[in-house]
Amino acid sequence: MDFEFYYTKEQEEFRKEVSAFIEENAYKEPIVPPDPVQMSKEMFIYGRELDRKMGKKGWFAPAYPKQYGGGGLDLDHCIILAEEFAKVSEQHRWPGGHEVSSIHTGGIMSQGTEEQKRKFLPKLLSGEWFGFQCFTEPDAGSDEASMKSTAVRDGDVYVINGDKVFVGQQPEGLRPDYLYWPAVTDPKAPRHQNISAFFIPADLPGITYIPLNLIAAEGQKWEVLCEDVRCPADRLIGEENKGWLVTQATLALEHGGGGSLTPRNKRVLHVIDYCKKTLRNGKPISSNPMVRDLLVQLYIEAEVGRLWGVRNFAMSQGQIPRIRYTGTQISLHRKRFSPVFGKALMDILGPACLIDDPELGILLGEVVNEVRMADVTHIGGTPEVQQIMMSRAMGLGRSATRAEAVHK
Amino acid sequence: MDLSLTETQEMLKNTTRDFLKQECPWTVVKEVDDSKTGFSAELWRKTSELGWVGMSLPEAYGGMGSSIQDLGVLYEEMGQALLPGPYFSSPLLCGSIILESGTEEQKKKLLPAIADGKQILALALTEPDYGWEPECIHLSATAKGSNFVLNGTKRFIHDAQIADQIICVARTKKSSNPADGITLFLVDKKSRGLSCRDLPGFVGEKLNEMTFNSVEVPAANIIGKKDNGWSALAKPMRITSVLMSSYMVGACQHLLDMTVEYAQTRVQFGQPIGAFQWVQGYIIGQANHLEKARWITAEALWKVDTNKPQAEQDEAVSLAKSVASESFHECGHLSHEVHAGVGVDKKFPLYLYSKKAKTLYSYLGDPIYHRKRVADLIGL
Repeated sequence: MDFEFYYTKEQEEFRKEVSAFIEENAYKEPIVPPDPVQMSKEMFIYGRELDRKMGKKGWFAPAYPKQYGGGGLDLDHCIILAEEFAKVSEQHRWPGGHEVSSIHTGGIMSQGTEEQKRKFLPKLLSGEWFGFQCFTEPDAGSDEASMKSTAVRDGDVYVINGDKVFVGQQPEGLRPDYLYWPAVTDPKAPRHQNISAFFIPADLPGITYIPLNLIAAEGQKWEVLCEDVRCPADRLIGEENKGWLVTQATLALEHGGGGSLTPRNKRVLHVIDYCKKTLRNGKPISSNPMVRDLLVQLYIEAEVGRLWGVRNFAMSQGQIPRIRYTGTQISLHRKRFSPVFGKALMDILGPACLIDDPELGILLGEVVNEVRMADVTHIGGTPEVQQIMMSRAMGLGRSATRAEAVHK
Repeated sequence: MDLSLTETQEMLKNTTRDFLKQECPWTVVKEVDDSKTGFSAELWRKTSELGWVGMSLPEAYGGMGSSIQDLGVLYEEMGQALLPGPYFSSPLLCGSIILESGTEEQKKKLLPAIADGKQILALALTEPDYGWEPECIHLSATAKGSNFVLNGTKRFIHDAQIADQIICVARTKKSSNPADGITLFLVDKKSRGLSCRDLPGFVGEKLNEMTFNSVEVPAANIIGKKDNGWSALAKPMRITSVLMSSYMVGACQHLLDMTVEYAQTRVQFGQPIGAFQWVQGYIIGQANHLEKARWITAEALWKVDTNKPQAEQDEAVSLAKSVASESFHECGHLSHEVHAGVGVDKKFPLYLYSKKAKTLYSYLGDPIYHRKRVADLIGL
């Protein structure tokens, strides 16, 4: 095995180009809030502008085919892009990178018609459109298939009714470009075979947006109501009643099955660094043996997260045999680590970890954001749901053949 | 970056697995565990003949000069089968000490015999003041003519019961720096005044207590420089710790596999117990522990193999040993949760694994010790 990354001359040249683009467009100061809920409307609009600029260069969705609006770039280039944009985001200088729309492509890619691919993918993969993923309902959380939203065909439109919650991430005063909305189209059909997926134009009459007031959620979240919304029939993605497959393809992308080559959890490294440099009673916080051990335990989990990303990447490249549960495993690890991290911050920093004061908030508010997020482990599926998915992939509780079928 | 195994490694993995399936099923492990010596001379001879014992040592001294990553593949398979024997003590710990610090004469005399399994050596380091730091070394060695006289007790020594010779870590000088004044002595097991008894208990391999009662050792038996023995241990400890991590990864894999199989076949309340989410949670815990240990260890093997800066190697190895010790222990415990009654019955193999996990947990430093080392190394 060789864990070293070797960069070719061409990659280094490309890195210079990327880094010049970033320096030209990024904020000069670290002013992007770690908690996106606090992002201003103006900053969000600028971030979207940056997404489109990236899209023009083929860098918004670099690995996707050029013909559909992606960058058509090879792995070598994608790695450099990921590294450089990770750096500037972590410096709190880059408000762009609203990749949520590029993961919406999963369903279209796997279930959409050629016409749909040509129509929608360029909008999504170039950063032009920004949409809300409207999957969760008040009575359908983890059990997404029990959704109550309906879509009834009426000539060349579908009439949509329903209530979706905890969706989107956009400041107040702005609207998305579309709503990615699954709804029941055949109430008599069995579960999973009764749903269709739509890309509803977000400005149709009958749509109401209600901002939610949450403790934390990776951005301003919304409740969206559809009341007799007449959605053009050509906004149906894939075939009627095959919407379950569409949404599952999106979730597979969201859960990180492809692996990643990201550096260690930077927030952990920032905290370690802070504890080394910050004195209490004339001694670094990190000199307390209990604190030292807690910090090393956090460091180990950060290492695990990094190495599993590398592992999944090696699997996606065919270097090592594929294990079915490894995508979900990363997601589960992130979700289980978050509360551990949050608790450790309380042990290490005391009440200071709760403060969001512009002057006293630790690490520009990164720390308090982590404490908030410690109780928000459900986004993209609760850890328990991840466990169920992992169990199925391991063939537990049902026959191995059934497990295969579920995960095809 | 390429995480694939080389063709040679794939072959080594398969042949090792096949051999151990044939020669070391769990019933053999049980026999060894039940035996007085905790040792199978036959398995030791056969694996020596296959070259496993000498794999880490250079060809010039009768070994095979294999890379650490190749050895990682071998030791992982050993761990799958829970192969018992002095595979850490003799070639890795003692072999590397002699290779790194011995005189040419000592190397020529000892290494070929270690490599072909004819001589078994054990390292006597820990004492009643248990620990893996230099301040825990009290056993005294004082000069007397051309000899040194050793007095003191070594405790929890692995493989001493079957060793021909012991490398004893002794204090030859008291100093404000505890690492200064430590010397390594090669001691014949039959020396006068030296006694050895294995300590009864719930142990995965024999742990011995050795009493040194005015044991006279010729000064020529010093390995490396007098008073400078602690630094001579660094590399051997590093190599052995990372390969022990590989062994534990293999054992974790076996525990996961056997537990998945059991959960799929054991029926209660009319369904396989794997259908119960509590049971699933335990097994997912095992998969998480296994994969943590596997990849932290894999990167550490690579760092040692490619001879990264020493601090980087030490950090990686300490991460590996701390995580692998935790993982092995937790995988064992979680297996017990799933197996319940069957798991504690000696008619089934699980107890051999969980007992081994508890024994290797602190060997060469427990997780707290290694996390402390990591803290030092990352400047906390």
